[in-house]
Amino acid sequence: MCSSKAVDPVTARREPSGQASAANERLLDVQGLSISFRNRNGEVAITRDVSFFVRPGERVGVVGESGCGKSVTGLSILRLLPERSTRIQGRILFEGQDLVTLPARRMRQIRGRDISMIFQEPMTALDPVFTVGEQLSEALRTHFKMSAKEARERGIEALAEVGIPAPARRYDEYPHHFSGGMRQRVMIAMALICRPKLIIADEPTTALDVTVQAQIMDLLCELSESTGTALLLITHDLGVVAESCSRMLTMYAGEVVEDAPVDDVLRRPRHPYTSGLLRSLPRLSVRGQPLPSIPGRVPAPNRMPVGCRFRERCPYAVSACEQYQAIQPAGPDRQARCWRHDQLELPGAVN
Amino acid sequence: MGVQVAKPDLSTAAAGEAVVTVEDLRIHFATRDGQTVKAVDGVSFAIRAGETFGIIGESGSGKTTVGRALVGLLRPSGGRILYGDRDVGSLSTREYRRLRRDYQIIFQDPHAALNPRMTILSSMVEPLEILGEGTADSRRRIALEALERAGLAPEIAARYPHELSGGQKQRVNIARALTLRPKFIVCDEVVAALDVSIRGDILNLFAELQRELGLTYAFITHDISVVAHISDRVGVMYLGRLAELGPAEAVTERPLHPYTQALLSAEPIPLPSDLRNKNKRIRLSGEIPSPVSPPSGCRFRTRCPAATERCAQQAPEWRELAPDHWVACHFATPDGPPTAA
Repeated sequence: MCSSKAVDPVTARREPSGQASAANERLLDVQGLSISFRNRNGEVAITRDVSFFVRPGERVGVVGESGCGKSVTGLSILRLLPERSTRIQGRILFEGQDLVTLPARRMRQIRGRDISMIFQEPMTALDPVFTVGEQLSEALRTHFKMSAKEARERGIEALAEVGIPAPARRYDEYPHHFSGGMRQRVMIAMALICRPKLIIADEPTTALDVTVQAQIMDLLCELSESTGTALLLITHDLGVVAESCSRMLTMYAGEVVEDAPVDDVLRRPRHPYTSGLLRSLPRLSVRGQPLPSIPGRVPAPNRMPVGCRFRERCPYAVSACEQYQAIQPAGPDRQARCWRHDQLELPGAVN
Repeated sequence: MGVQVAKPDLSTAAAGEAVVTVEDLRIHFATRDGQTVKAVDGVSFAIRAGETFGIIGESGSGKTTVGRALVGLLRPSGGRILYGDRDVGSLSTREYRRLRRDYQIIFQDPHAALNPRMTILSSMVEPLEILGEGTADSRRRIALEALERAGLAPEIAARYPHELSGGQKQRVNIARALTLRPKFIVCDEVVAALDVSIRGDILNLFAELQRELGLTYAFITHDISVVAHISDRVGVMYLGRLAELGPAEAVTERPLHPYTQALLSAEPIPLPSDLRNKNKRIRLSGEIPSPVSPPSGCRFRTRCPAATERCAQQAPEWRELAPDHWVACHFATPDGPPTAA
């Protein structure tokens, strides 16, 4: 969409990374990430030893239920967690540099430019006292030497790119003039305007209606494809991941329990929790029959059992599950945090 | 289980007979600048004893407003609501209060529906206190029995809402509705705030209670897979009106209205790519128009891929194209919705 001028500050810097990226190249490489929050009563561990990676241009879904640590993981990548009360161990390598230890000034250069974020609630993520255009162009003018006029042109282009009608007029309007779906389009335009290499989208369509969700997800995928932007999609909706991502990470109680190509995991999950999640979707059950569910509830962060954290809810648990479970290879390009992964024939989304 | 939380008297409402009938219901709200929001604008249906009547629609469709009107939380601006064969609007206050206890509602947010400063037991017995029923002891017994029926341990009664999980809180809300031995419960997005793994439990509980107590439900949700699973009949609302109404299986598998078809096709499907029909998605442009100035004629026409001039001029009639399967579309046939012009 960006006009092809001789030297384009926004797109020019993308060329070095190019499309020649090998399949095993890692744009984002999270290694052993453990996050804990300090409060008056001590420290609460939120995630433990989270490791995963995202290849250039790849779309990876992170699924799990509330409290599993998926949002915290997303926020930690952009260093958006409160620094004083958060303790982060492990490394977050982005193009080889560790974001955990990066000076704040360098981090600001990456935030919004190389990595951007889309939040769930577009109304709270947009500032009500500035026009949409002011907020759009802010990122551009922060990261690139650009005149106000040029930033405006690009902002209008960006609005057009995400399918907002009459972009030149809407550029000067305030967020409250926009409907929920249009606001989320604005968020996507803001996230894409600097042509980042990675977008972290945390439940980007949860607040939207299903017909609008379909529009927004189609748009995100199309733009990710046309611009080569990688996407880390955090959601509780397995259907959204199935339709838009190539790989799926399942998180449970602060750990990654499964990491696999999306079609493989839907067909045959290797972790009982992933299987339970898939089986509890109503659409897979016969009408009028009881729905399968996962008994019990997620253990509280300060009462994590030793050994497998899913053990107490797992129908396949045996005494050996009381040992610590390391994540281990479970087939080509996939891993599972279950020592029984190759013994069990776990049902997936396909009957 | 309890004597008190026993089967309601079904003799007055034989199976198939309407528990609630809505006739040309209109609910309009005045805005501050003198305009009128037509949240519900001419909706008619009857909910039969013992059935689960699903209502689906997107935000702004009026589904929640209908639900609230069904239990008297909103007063109709036009049309009427009948409980059994009695017009709610014509009842005396006393008669209404007596009848009204048979008609309960459970809300979306299980936490907001409980007073954080009251123990679960106090919240549970409050409706009975208001009705002046029984003694403190008997009210307590009814509450504990209802908790048990909702699958909760009696210890829960002494706790406060913040000590419970979302699923437990929703069970408390279900139990509280049961204390009054209702015939009919409006379930407004009752699983939307819950995690996927426990949704099944709560939906199963609703089904079990229906079997045991002969309850009738109006199940309001935006989640098509939930409504398809639990409902006997489904009504699809769009911008204050019903677009389609029919048996759940027919509506969710062989829809007649182009809106229903688009809604179904928009739902993301958790299946491997080779098992998904890639071309199935009907992309609707735009969003639901404002209920302040709904489109003329058919309300869906501004987003309908098959809209013609006639749709702008004339509101479609409510037609029964298959047994018990109704649709408001000029061009729908028993074979399905019209295809794009």
